[in-house]
Amino acid sequence: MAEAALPKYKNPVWLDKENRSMQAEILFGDKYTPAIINAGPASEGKVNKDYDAIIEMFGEQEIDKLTQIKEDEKQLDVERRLAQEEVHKNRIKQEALFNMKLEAFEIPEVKDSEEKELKKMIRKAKTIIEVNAYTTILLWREFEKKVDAE
Amino acid sequence: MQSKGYVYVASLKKAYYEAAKYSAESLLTFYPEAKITLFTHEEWVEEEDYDIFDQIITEDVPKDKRAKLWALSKTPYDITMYVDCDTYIQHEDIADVFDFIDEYDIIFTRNRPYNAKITKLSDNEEMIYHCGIFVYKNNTQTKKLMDDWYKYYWEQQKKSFDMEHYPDEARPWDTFTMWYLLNKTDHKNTVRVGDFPEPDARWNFCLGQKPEELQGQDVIITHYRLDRVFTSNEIIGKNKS
Repeated sequence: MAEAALPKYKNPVWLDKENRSMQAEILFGDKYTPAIINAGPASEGKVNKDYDAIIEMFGEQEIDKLTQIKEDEKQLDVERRLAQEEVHKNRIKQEALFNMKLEAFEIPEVKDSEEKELKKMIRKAKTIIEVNAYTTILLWREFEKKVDAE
Repeated sequence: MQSKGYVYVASLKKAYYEAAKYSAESLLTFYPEAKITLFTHEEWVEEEDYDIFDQIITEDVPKDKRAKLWALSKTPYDITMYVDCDTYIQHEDIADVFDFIDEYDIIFTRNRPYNAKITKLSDNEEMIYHCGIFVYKNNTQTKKLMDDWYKYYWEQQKKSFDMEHYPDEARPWDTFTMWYLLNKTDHKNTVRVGDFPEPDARWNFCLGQKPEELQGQDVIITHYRLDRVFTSNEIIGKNKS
């Protein structure tokens, strides 16, 4: 009894309204299966029973509405995916910079250096190139001190 | 004159202890006069660590993942900045952080839903505060809040704790406990909660956040994830297991 109450068609959306093409779910047995329903341009006068039944059941306006909802959801999905990609991209870039700073401070000459301003600049660096450059300058200064002491 | 200082808590994994030292060293680079206390386990402490930390407290520090919550009410300072171990200080403005607490008992930075595991609890309930960096006064109401934070956190882990109205994935987070205390218990009437100044992102820049959140200003604290940091030698990440 419950099965008989199920509607034959669900969730119709336009694929190409002008050419009377849509996508919907059709009930086969007790399961809904996605299907593409093509009636062709009205000028050709072809008949598709499923198409006619869906138009009868939902009306064009309702299908327009469902199509819009689906498109909005798609757009939202795209935006969500792009936002996640951006977070991922930012994280990878920021982690690479952070790891570079960690590695710089693992060099004993950097860690133990009294060159406070240069150490600050390495910690503050906003790009990998800056980390490299300030670390090189600091190492050079430490090298010069060592040579002078000898 | 009120005492002001920074607190780190490193428990359970030695990687946290190494990270705390690393963070505290970066803090001292930009604020050499900073007073810093570390709560940790005795077996990890080395003599040279006292060059970094003014106090290292090991007595009774629980070996559990929320030792942080246990330690907060035991701060030696009148005003404390709690700093997660997996952080890195990179600006002189860190010295000014205590000026912002003003009339509040505690100030937080905000969570970014796009960069957090979970913030939304229901249609109209959201965990807005990030609990990895905050400044608080050592007064009766915050001491009670911190002690309850530890107590309620472990209550929250029990199956008997009523999570019916909230997603179960919120259960492991101490952020959820703090949200619960500040919204569903008497603490909401006693504790004055405020925000870090805008842009708050510079005070707790969690890797993955959008750079534009900084509004063109410099980062003061970078907040990374210990399990995602890899270096070649005495690493923080190598000790993670």
